Amino acid sequence: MKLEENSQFGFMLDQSKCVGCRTCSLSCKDYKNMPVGVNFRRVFETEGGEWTCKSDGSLEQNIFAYYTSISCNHCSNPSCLKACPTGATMKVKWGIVIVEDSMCIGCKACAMACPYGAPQFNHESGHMSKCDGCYERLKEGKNPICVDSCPFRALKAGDITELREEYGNLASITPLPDASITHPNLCIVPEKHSLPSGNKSAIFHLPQNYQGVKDDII
Amino acid sequence: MQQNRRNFLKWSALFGGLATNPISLSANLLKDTPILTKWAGCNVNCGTKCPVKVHTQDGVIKYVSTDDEGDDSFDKRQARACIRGRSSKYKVYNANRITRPLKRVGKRGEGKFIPISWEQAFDEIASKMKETKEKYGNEAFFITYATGTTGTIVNRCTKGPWARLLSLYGGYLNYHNSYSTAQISNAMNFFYGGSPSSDIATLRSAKLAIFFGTNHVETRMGGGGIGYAYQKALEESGCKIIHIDPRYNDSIIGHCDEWIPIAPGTDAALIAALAYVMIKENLLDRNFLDKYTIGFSENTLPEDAPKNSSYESYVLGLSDGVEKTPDWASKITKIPARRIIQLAREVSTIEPCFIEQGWGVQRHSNGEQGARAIATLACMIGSIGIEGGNTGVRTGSSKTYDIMGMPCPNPIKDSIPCFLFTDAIYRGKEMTDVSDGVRGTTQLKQNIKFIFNTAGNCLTNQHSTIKEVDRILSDESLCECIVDINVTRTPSNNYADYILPDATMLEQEDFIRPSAGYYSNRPYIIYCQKAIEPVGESKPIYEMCLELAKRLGIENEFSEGRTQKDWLKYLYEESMKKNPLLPSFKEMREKGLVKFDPVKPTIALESFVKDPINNPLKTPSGKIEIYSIKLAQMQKTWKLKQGQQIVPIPVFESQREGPLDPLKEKYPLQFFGYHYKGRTHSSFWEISAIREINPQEIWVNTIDAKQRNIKTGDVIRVKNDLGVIQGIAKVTPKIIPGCATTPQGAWVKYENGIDIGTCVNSLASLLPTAISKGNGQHSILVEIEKA
Repeated sequence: MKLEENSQFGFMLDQSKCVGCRTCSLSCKDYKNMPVGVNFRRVFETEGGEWTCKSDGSLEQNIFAYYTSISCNHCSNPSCLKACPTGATMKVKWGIVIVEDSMCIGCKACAMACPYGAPQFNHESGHMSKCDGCYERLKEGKNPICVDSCPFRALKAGDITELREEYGNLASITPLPDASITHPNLCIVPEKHSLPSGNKSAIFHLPQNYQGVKDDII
Repeated sequence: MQQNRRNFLKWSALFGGLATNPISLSANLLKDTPILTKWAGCNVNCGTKCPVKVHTQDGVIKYVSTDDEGDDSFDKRQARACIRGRSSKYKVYNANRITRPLKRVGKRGEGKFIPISWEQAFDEIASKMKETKEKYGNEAFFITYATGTTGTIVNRCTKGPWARLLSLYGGYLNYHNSYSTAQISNAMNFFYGGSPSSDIATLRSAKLAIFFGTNHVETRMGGGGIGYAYQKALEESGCKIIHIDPRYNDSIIGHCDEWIPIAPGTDAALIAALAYVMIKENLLDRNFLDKYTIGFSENTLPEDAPKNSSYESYVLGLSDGVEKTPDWASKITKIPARRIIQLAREVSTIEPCFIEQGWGVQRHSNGEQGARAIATLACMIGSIGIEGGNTGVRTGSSKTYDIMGMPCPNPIKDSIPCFLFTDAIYRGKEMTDVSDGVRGTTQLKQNIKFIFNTAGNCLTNQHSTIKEVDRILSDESLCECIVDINVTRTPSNNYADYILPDATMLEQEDFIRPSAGYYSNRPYIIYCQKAIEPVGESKPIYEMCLELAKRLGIENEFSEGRTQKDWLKYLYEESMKKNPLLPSFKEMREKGLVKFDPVKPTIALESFVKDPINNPLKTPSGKIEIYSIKLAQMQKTWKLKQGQQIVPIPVFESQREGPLDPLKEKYPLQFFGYHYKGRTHSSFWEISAIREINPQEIWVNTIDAKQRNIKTGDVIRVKNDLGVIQGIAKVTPKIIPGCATTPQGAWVKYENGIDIGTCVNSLASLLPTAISKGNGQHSILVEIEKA
């Protein structure tokens, strides 16, 4: 992948291919060497539908499920940037949003502002941290590590204009917020069950929210 | 060793022992040294062996990546490792990693150990081996079934150096079957004389595909597996795709058309009802059944078979007075009768139809029957031996390039079903061929007295009724010595007398055995180039076995003068004699990952269907045996547990702890384990970075959860007469009401009698299945409540 000087970087997610394996999350954590609790890429589960028990004991249903793998969308109108009191969150080359460690005071304002949950507090460094699109790899013409790790080829990265030409300009998918809020540089190929943003009928699940992880396991 | 210790001390000192995060600081300290790249592989037993590229700096792993070669077009696709392979760094640098030999102190099972030297470990183990051989004979030695490091040559747990060492020392008790496939593999041997299956790529030619408990994208999601090939085939086929499964599994996402939820263990009832409709509506492929199979109808039964013993007679109720109507099946399976009738019409009129089952169907107490029934459906529609059809068996590889393993000439032929190893500890000498499926002899000569558990967690965790196993293994008068070899502490090695620290695949040279790959139509071989020195004092098992061989007086026989690398070269060059397509050893070793040209995808039973006379199957009749001649014989001679039966045709049996078991009054929910994305069985549980994003959740259906006032995130308990497990609830509509599930392989951890590790096998019965003596571990009835 090669980015032109003034292009805007973005991601494409094909939900019809994403099976929620989370290889993207783990390969990112491994490459960026982030501790437990910090996940630059997160995989949301969405599921819904109803069961009907018939009088003869049989069951009918219209259950569905799909996954949404999301990192930072390097938004055109990033709410994290506006919320940052020190200017540590900034947009750099190719419209990539980064947090500059030396300026970050770890106040978490960016995390609270971002509707995608992209900025992550690193307990080890005391700073906020987030996806930078694997900036150093982009400079070498390589893909972000998550894209090259996907066993199902559900992720792509590149010039968002080109991605949108090929895959459309849809990003307002539940459980994500409406794209009009931050103008994410993200386009999504929906799974056939994918719901528009704001739909309250489905269940959303980010598994890491529910339990702590210990190494004391024997 | 010096270099190895230096590196280990360096990062362990930096992080206060075995921390999980050795890189961030060391990377700063060692900025200017170059990053080196070596090939290795992920060799646990998901059936896939994905390439892993290891990036190191000054002897420490910085990160891993995977296959990035080729243009990634489908026939040149990259075999991209999944989350498991990508976590290799975390496996190497892990808080639970064993870095020194350990010896038990205190009572066995308490899990208390002290570090000892390698010399002491070798001396004491060798002396105990001599004592065992003298006192009980070689039949008392056993290497347990294990899946932690498979598919490699020198490090292959139950076929490598340990098996060779014991073979040359006079032999050991063998096992047969596996925990993954005991029932389906035996069932298919009786049915097809083997497990013939089409390549997943041939799905592209199907018009209809029906999957029973099949879940390629979770079980084999790595690029060396068939998950991606499955998805590509679905994309390209445009065929109608139906999944029949109690759980809305992730293979249903994307291009599939329908999920038909089914009560676990009732597949044979569904098939019988489909057969009923097809008989009544004259939809069967009678030509196929008459020409290629025996026992579907009375006219193809063997001569000595009783009247009304055919499958058709069973379906029509001529043998038991019960017609297997859609209404009958609907009550058992929970599938609406109307849908069963429609499905029978679809499956018999849309051609070709690809029928496949995963291994979940057969892991029930009636699993052999379910497996054979699904294969029977494939025969009823005759969609076998043609492009786009399949036999009802799980798809496999089209071609693999094998490399010879180390010779292990075990003089002892006695063999037990692997699931019965705990029985063989306390009643081995009672075990016979017709009561316990013992092979190679009619009765065992000795109880198991000495266990080698190498890269395994089946001593407790992956076995059943773990409290009972604890009782058997804790008794030092039964099995007198347990040696455990692993890279990590596990619940199983809590029971060891000695734990020996193994090296990972990143820390030694070895082949990743390609015969265990499922890359479908494009074989490859990985040569692990050794990226780092073994952590701590850990060492490859070849070196351990060589040291023991010295002490047992069989060093020359064992090594034949070869080092590990010499063996790899020797075995590879022997394999080259049979396969001229293999590159030289030098080239293989330098390249690390060698991929071969794509091959034509296999169509199962193609030659048999073209010419059944000249290509007979390996069954007694040479045909597909819907009525099994061997099972008919076993029906007369085998001694079974109470409530068990052997029937030559695949009738639906109401299984132990199934939906029709009276025990359901007390324990109303069917409970089962499924294969999880974050693990292969219990491997990778030690890695917190994986558990964080693929946590252990107990799925409870929305309706059942409401009745019990359970919400997502609640701590809940799942209990039956065998145990209690505790874990976090996930309330979801993605499982059929009346059922609950949790991913299998979580590590058991008892606190006050409750397994807070949420290991499903704590609740599973030790009773083996009737025919295979396999693990029917998905047949569990429970009640669930908030903790």
